[in-house]
Amino acid sequence: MTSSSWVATVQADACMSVAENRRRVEAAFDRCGPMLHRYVAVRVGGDTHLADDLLQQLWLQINRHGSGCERIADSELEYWFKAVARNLIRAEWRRRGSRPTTVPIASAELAAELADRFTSERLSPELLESKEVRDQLLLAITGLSNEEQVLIVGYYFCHRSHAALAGELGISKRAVEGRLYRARAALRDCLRELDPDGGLHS
Amino acid sequence: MTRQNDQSNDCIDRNLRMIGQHLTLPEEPNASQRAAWKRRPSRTRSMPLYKGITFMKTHKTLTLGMSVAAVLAFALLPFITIGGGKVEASTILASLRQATCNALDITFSDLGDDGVIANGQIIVVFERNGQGKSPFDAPITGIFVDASVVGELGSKEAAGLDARVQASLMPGDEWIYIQSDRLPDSLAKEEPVLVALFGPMVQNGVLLKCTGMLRGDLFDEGVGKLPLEELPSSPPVKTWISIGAEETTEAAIENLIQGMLRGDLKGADFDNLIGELEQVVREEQVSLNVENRGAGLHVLRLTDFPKEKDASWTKGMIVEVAYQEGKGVPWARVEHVGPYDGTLHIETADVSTDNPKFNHDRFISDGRTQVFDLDRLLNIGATLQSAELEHVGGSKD
Repeated sequence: MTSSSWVATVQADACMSVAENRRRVEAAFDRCGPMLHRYVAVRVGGDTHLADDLLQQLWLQINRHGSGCERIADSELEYWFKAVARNLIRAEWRRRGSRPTTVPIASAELAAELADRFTSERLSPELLESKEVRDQLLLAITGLSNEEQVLIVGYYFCHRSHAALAGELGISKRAVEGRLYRARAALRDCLRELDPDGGLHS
Repeated sequence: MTRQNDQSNDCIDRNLRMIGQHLTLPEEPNASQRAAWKRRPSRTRSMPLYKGITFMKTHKTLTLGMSVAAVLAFALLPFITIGGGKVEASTILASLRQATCNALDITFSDLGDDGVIANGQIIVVFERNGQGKSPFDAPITGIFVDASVVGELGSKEAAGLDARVQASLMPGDEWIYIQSDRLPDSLAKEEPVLVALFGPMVQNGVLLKCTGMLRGDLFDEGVGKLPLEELPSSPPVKTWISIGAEETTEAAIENLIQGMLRGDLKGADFDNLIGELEQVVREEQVSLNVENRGAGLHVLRLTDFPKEKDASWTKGMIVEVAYQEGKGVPWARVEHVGPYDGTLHIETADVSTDNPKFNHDRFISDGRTQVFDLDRLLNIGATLQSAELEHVGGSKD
């Protein structure tokens, strides 16, 4: 192989890996999009238009740092996306000069109490009408991982069947049941350890 | 798995079912929202401008500016992104200006979308061609837009808007003048302080100089070379040029268009090619009839465009193209287009960029107009935001 063809081969390989990495990151972003949107929307007070703007900025950020994320495993990309999303939300709050009043307020104490009651008694509809309780639940649910949210939101909020979720995730119905079990446990843990800053701590 | 774990999990399950009925999560993003997150700056758009736009979007005070951009885009769409017929669109553009004319005069009414309705005029001036020079290589030397923009009453974003926008795009001299008697009500609600601050200024008129920002391939290259697919995506406007023509008939239709634009089609040739076109449009259930108005003037009339859900822009639309034997296409007209039943009329004209309309001095001379160099302002904004994004663009933590 001549030196020029070797250089060409190396360049082609490099281009290929950049393109592949880009596709990988984009696929992960597509997969996590609804989860990230939910995460951001809740933390900017339910303003979905602003959430859209921030998701657009998030995508720009991802592309800007795209070449540096080759070492991040597929399974960890969503945590990186969330980290950037957190920073963008904080920047938005700074821009506004304060945290919007409509943003749910985390209460570690209440959330921990809720986690205990969650597993030991039937919560009353009256309790769920309380804004404080709803805030804890919103922060905890949207703080779950992508797959956990797909399952919890899909099954309990969108009323999708085990079979439909199995089809979406490409797993068996039995596996959906198992993962739902773990997602419920993760939600309980998330409530127990809810960050006082709603997952936006530095 | 212990019995206790099972019990607690069943309990969470029961509680979650109830929570699912009582708690509302943010609305799930739809496909177009998700696609918009990844909308990238086009190749022809400069990064500072893109940053500027992002800056403007996050600072909602420039909603009006975005409306203006939308109006500009809509007004130009029928010319630039006709269905996807890349060659044909540029051919029409280039050939509509005959040797005796060097401009297109476009008037539009009730054109718009998303609650913003515009009425006005656009003049596109081309460089006069030298002898033997292909018309496709002639660059555009200026575009002038004058639009009255109003917000639809029921529109969440635009209700209350009442503005007049004039803009001139010439290489090295690009400006936008905005005068608004009333800004959108939503803006007044969201940004009351800014509206109180800038409202009176806009009422007196604001001139934004944006030299270098809007220039691109439009001025640098001939119309035939415009990267049409790079321009903003159009609403689902289908025209007779792009209606699912088979490859065999495509050539015939291309011949028809070229011949009409040159003005050298007549007699049996014209009838034969019209026959081909009729066949194509019939397949798409669009009606075509050609009216002979005498003295070599024919008017092609297309009606009954598809009425599917996704064709709201073309529902009820009527397209008329006049063809004058020996001269070409003197005018074209589109009626009942878009959600506000708009009309667009295009005809050739003889206008130069020396026309006073292209000169912004008339706004400055009254002494009330505020003048801003937008290019400089956006660059400052972009720099600030860039620094901010640099700061937030964190690593995995």
